[in-house]
Amino acid sequence: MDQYTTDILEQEQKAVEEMITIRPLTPQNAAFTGTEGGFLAMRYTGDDGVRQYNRVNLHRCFPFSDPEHDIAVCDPTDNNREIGLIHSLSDFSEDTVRLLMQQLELRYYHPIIKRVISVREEMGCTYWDTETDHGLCRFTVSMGGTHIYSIGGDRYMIEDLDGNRFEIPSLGKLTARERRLLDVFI
Amino acid sequence: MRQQDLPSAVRTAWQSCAAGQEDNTPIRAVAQGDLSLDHSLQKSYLILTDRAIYHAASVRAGEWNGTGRMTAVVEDEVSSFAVYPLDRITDPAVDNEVIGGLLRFKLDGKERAICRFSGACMRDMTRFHRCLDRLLQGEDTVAPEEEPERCCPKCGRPYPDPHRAVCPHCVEKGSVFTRVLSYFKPYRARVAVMLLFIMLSAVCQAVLPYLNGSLFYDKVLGRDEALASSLGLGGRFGLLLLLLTMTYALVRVLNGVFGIFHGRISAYIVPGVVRALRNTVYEALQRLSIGFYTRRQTGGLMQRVIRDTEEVFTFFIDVLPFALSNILTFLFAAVIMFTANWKLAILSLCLLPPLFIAFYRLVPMMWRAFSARARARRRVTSNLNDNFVGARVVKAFGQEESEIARFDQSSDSLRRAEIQVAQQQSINAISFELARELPTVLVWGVGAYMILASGGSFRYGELLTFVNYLTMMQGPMRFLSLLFRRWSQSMSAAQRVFEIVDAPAEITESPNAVDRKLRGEITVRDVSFSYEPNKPVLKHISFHVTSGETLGIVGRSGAGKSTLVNLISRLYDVEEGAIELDGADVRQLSFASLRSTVAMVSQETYIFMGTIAENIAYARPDATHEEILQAAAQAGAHRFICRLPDGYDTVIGTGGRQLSGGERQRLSIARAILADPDILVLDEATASVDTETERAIQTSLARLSQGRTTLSIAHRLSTLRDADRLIVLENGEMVESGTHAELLAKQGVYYKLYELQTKALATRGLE
Repeated sequence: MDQYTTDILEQEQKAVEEMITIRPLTPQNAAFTGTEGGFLAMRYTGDDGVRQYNRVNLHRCFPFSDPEHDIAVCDPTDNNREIGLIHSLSDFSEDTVRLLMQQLELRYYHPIIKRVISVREEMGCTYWDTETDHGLCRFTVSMGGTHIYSIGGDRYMIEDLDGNRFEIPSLGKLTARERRLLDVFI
Repeated sequence: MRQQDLPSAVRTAWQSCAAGQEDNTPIRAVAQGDLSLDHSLQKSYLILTDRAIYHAASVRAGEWNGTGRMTAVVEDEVSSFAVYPLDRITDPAVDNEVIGGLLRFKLDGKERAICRFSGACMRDMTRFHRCLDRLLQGEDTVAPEEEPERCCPKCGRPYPDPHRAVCPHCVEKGSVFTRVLSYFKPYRARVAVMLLFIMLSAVCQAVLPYLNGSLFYDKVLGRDEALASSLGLGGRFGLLLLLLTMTYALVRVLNGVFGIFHGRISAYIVPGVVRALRNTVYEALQRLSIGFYTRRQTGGLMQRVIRDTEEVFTFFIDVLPFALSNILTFLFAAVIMFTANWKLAILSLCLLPPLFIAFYRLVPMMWRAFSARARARRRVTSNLNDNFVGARVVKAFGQEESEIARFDQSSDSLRRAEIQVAQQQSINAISFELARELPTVLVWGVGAYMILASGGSFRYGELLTFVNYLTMMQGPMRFLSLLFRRWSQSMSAAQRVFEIVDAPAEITESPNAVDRKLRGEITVRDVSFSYEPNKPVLKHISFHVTSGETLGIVGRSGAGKSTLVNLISRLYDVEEGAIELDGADVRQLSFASLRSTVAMVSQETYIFMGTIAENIAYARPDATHEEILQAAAQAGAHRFICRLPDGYDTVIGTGGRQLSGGERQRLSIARAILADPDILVLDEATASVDTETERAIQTSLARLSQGRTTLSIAHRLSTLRDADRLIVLENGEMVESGTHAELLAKQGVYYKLYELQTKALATRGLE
């Protein structure tokens, strides 16, 4: 085997290992700062030295069932490859947690429905008129396929024609009238 | 968003801002955002000129109103413009977030978030970004403005299908109605006869209460001389009774006969009409492009073809004709009641509205309970299905207990739904009963009092007739209370059906398409393509394949290989750039010449219902047995087909005989051989078969590709060893191209892949 092939093999082996290991990020090896332009930067201190990422993305592993744990930090300049995983946000300082939460909220933003004003079905589409934590939202949902789905228990997610998502945190907490409106669709 | 859609207030504000910047260059693109950087609902405008980007946000919080249509911004609501001069901007990009996205770029080398937006603005923003990107690269460009209107101009709601400007909310149901009616045209005469029978039957029914009420009690039993003598039967009341009984029986029989005739005619008409509509839908589906199918679930389409077409007509057959007879019955009964005793009639009619309301309210409650039960049933079924299909996994992991518990959950929800139905049913039955009985009791009471008080002028038979007519009215009441719902359901189904019938094919034959014999020369010129906005699958691909050459396409899964070949056979149209066959744009070629030129063997082989011979001859049904044999032999399929007891006549899927993956693959190759195309596309044709079968198929493919242009896609590079030239795709870009030797010499991506697949993997086993 020539040198080049050996090199490739080694590279390959490294890539494979990289792919199958999860690198934990802790306050000891990762420092986060907010950038002027509204992004998140990270300085990572690994066994192989210090690396500075000017922009990183955060992805929740369990966005619905456990949003404050297991948060992947990804490098958008490298096809969103995972740099490492934060197991628990609470390990970090309060300021960092605030910073990370702010970024997470930006990525996972979706209005939460507080009140269902009306839902009307018309020829394969439902027209929703709702009040959300972000204000009044009117949207249209296609009835073909599963655009209304449970994300655990009686918590529901609704996806509209544009791919925007709206959450009903608990069906049980809606009024009887609202539940009757939704009865047919859920 | 088009330039002319920019609100004049925003335009005026921008003009004064641009004047301040001494910018008098024209607008290149405009876009609209609907979220602020911290995600409050806020409308904002982006304007791109040759010199700068201007960004203004409304100071007022907005309201989301479907496709980005928030409350309009008025002049004083536009805060000042942020100005980003283009010479300070680099690396613009649009990022996809969980919903919507973010426009960002580097300003003086520092990354900045500029504008957030929901999914509604994605298309707009992507176009804006593309235009900006080009402008920064020094190209002279204006954002295309062909973007069709995406919201109904009447009500502002978005169109469910952006490719089709139909607003379900505003569509005129009347026009759908007349359109459905047109399907009955061929049956005009029969429909007229059917209506006649329905009416005759209604008349019969209307006569009955009179016969067994007034006539029977007051005239016959009451020995009314006037009637008897007018019939020439003076005093012979026995005979009169016989006559009355016979008339009564005759009317009953006639009623039955009319019913039978009506049923027969309707049985003849309905299936014909349903078939006509179903075929129209099917034809439309065949005409539509592959994109239509991938956007929708097959189940939904099946439902439209089967269930919706039937639902449309149940209304027209089971409801509409009876609406007429019910209205007639109602009027008839009303008239008789008023002539009999107007006071009692008024009293009875006053009692009808509560009855109407009771029907109107109670029946939908029942429906709701029924549909809840249907859903619970479906859950149980899908649970069962899930468990049976996955039986192996359940057993392997010893999860029988937890599966039982899971089943019990859905089983229990069915139990609750059943209870609901039963309770609702008993409530309904009793409420109905009461709603029907109470008015009758009242009328009986009042009527009896009137008999007592009138001193003989109002008699028992009349009262009985009266009550009978009242009872008769309840049918139409119930019917009419549900009429509107049924109508609206049927119209919805019809609308869904017509939506398919009217859906424009995205890929259409050019009106002056040329029919020509092609030699199989392919030129791909700067082609870009994406299925969804801001998710490009192919970026600026260019290459040329001469006639008879074999081109290998290499790349990871998701690199865009299959998309590329789909564009060549025009399953989709390119977004930018062009694909030419023998120098002619594929969009200018007739479908016939295109389809006869290109044949594809893909990884997913589809075998249709029918015999093996029919499947091989799919593209050329007129092929002789000899040709089929030859094609099968060349595909290495002849041997195994001959071993089957029924040979080429084997009906696939019968007698427990299923074809293996390799066998199906060889059948689809035989199909391609028989089609005798000038361009052969092999999309992972041998990916799912064992090594030996692969070698057999490879050999037949090598034979097949002789003398024709071949595009071959494969993960396994060994599959492509016969290729004259190769191109390597990575993330939608063409990163390398050349012959096998050239690419190896380059020591790039291909070399790495090759080394890994041949030496590395081989030696690893020996280590």
